Amino acid sequence: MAFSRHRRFGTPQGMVFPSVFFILIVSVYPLVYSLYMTLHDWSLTNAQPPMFVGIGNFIALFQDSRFWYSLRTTVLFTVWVVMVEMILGMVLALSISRNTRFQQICRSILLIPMMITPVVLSLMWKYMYNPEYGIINYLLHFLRIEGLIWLGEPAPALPAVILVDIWQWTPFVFLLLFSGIASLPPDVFEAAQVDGASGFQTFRYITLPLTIPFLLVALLIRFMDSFRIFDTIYVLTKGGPANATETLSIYTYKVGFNYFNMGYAATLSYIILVIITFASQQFVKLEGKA
Amino acid sequence: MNTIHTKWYLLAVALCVFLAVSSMVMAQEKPVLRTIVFQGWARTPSLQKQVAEYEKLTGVKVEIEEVPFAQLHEKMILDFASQGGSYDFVAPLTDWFTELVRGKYIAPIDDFIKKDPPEEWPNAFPPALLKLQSKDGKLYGLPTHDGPIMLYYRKDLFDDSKEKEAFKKQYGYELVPPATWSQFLDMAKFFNRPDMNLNGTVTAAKQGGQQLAYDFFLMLWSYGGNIFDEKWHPIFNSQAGIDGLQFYVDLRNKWGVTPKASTTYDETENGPIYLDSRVALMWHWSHIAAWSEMEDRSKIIGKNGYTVFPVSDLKISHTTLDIYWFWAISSASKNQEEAYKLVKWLCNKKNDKEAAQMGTIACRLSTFKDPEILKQFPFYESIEKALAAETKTTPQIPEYAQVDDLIGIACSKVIAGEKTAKEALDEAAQQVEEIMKKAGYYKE
Amino acid sequence: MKRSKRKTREIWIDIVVLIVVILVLFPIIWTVLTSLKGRFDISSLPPKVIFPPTLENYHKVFVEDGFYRYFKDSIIIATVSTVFAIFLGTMAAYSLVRYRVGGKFLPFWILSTRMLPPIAIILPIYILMQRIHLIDTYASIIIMHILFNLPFAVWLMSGFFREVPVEIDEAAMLDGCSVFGAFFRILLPVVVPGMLATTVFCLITSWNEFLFALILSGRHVKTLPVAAAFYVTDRDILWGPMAAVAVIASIPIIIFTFLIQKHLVRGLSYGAIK
Repeated sequence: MAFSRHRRFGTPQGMVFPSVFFILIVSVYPLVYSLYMTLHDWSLTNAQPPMFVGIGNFIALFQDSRFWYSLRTTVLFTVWVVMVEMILGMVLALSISRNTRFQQICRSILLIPMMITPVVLSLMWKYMYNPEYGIINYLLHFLRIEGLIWLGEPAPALPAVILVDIWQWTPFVFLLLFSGIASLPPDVFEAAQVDGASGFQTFRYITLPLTIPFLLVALLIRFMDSFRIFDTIYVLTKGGPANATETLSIYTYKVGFNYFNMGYAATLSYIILVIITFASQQFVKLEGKA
Repeated sequence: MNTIHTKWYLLAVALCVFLAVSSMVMAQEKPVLRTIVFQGWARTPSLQKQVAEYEKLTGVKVEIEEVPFAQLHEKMILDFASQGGSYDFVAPLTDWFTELVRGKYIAPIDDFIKKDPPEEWPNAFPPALLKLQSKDGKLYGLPTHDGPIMLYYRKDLFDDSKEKEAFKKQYGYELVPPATWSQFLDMAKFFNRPDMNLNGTVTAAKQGGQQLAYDFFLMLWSYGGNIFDEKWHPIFNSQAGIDGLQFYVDLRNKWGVTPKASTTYDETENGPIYLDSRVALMWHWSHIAAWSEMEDRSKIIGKNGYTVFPVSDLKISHTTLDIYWFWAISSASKNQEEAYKLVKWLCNKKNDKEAAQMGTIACRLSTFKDPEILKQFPFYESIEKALAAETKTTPQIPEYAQVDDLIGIACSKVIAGEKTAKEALDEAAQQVEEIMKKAGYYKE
Repeated sequence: MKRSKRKTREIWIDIVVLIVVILVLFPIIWTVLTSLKGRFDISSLPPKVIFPPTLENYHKVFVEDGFYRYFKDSIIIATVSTVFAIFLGTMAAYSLVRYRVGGKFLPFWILSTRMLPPIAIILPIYILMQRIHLIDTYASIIIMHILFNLPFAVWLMSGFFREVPVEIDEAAMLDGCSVFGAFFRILLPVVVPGMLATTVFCLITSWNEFLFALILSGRHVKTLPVAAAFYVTDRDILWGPMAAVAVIASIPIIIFTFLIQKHLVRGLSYGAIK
């Protein structure tokens, strides 16, 4: 038995422990440290040790209108991004599910956006969004549509940022859903066809219910990532104009690394963590039911 | 048996000798000096060249870490605050000086200067370039890259006799570089020809950019206002502030003399537009004057004129904003003396001049008067005057980053039309007051 | 009759798909074009679609600015962190699925570490790494990237293991394999497509991660995304070299993904990540 001596090093149940140890060591220390900071007032630039303020930071947070506004922006961003990516991903997965050469190539191409570095990619979008020499307004001009100051006016700024995220992450949703649909047993569809079900009926009563687990997984991952969105917005707008794109992560980052107000930044990031964890738990529960 | 022993014995001795010698060599080895600068800094090309020379000259090793501009400040403070000791000397912006001093992160250099003064000390640098890195009579560094704001105009357009004539006919006075805002506006309107790819002016009004709050201060001062009173109460929401901001906003929203896209520009983006020959007049940092004479950067060589920053009313004296980069020595460094020697060397006459030729704004009086420099960059002639006149700077307080951000947001809201100038500034003033109160400025 | 109707519908769908693909590709094509433009063509008005192509941006990125170093660093960090994440994650997933270690709590706890906002832990991590002198080393960035990838790897791999019928293990053990023997020799080969799919996601995450790579990097170690910010200078954004970096930084991942694309879809659909 080539592997029987491994028994000495542990049981199969124990195979989870390296991961658990790793995560404990790397993430628990910072989390405890952050929690400690949420109870303190600590500025990196005044050379004084952290000062205990109890729940003072949380009280300040609830009175902070900028926090509420950034929370609102974050929710708006997340809802739009997740919703559109789900719908688009689904539509694409349904339309590109045949195995023709053409569709295979399309599938490969559709995956590209999610592989490009968000920081670099956002810069390229910024270049395209440029109202003067950017290509987007130039093309709109051909269509006789007047271009917008995409990132320079509050109204189009958030949609412009949302568009970049949709462009980059719809492929991910598409990939998950496509794989999900591909895993469904083909006989179900054949049976439906024999029964004379229309395309929509097949989707509504067969494909959708069967792919719900995949949808929920995609939803969960996209929710977690879009709620903490940072790179893209930081590069594109830094939260402007008129604070229209300041999400929680951006605000937290500013408080932490521009103002060096570490206690308050920790408080903000704990709020983000709590919201994401709570919402994710609901998703996971839903998933259990499905 | 014996021989084997002897062999081992000899080997052991040899090893000991080797270790001893090598540790002695190690001990004598020159120190390594580490610093951090940002990627794309105008001083970096000359710095790299000079550091290589210095390494050859002295045997000291210098390591330069480059980070993106936006992260220079945070990496520096993070390292200092966590006592990382990664940097022996740094090049901060004067905006950050009070943070660094209050944190005791940088060391005064007076003792080093006394022992080993820089060339031509104490008359090497204009006093204005030593002021902002001094506190309580102690000096914390030497200046290296300077940038008072100046007003630039296209000499070729302003000297064109047809333009002069047309302007006089339309506005009833001579077309000369503007001294007041009303003249500035007239001329910006006159030259604003979007169909011919020429803008009256171009601002950098991006929220989160470097320039927006600076621009507000400039407007505020030119309307006779101030940011704080003597007791650190914010007074930038005075009538001067409101009028100044309104004028600034009107340039884009009412008169359209700056592109609508200016709300997406940082100072990094509006400068090149001027250098690309698409703007008639604008204000910007001094490097634009240098860069307009450099072939790889400019399409307007020999066509750039410069003058002092305008005022709202000639009764108010001309002021400008000055912020500069300086070399400072880390308090945590174990090689402070070596670091000082290097900084002194980087700021010597030859290197200051060489840096100027490679695109920075030099800081030495000797460079300002150097005939070679004056030939290539004539604006150095007036820079000393500009610095000797009234230059103001951002509030020298550790809370400045936050104040800057809040003012930027306020301005951005006014440009977006979400608030009036008064509403936005009142709100910002209230927030700033809150910060100052919390920071303990108002305790009697 | 019905057949031809279906055929026309498929053609219409393909046409719509083609349009979508072109729209998706457009920013990429534009990036590639930009990377081939000379300095003055970049900000020309109106934007130029036809221009004399030049490789000066690539020359600048590779030869003048030495980007091969960052390439090397990125490859080392992405590879090592992915290998570790897959290795640890596969083991953990196996015992979570087959032995239900920790019940429902443990899997959710592991997943929840993926929810950490990086901002929440960056300062303590920085201070910690500073104390143990790991700033500016491969180790610190690799450790953080393992932390980001591990929960995801555990989660995905759990799905794959769940899909493998228990009978396979049992059959293997009846044949005389030990538990570990069954794991390594029988189970692992079955979940290889799943592991490859997981690898892709881990590689993408590590290759593209910015914030930690930035804070923990220094003079000696720097990943591509951090180095790309090189071209946002204090006075100008150099769009040409930036586009060139975008192109060269994307190519390895794209090639890798295409090579294993079959396994990717098979892995994901087979695994039925539930």
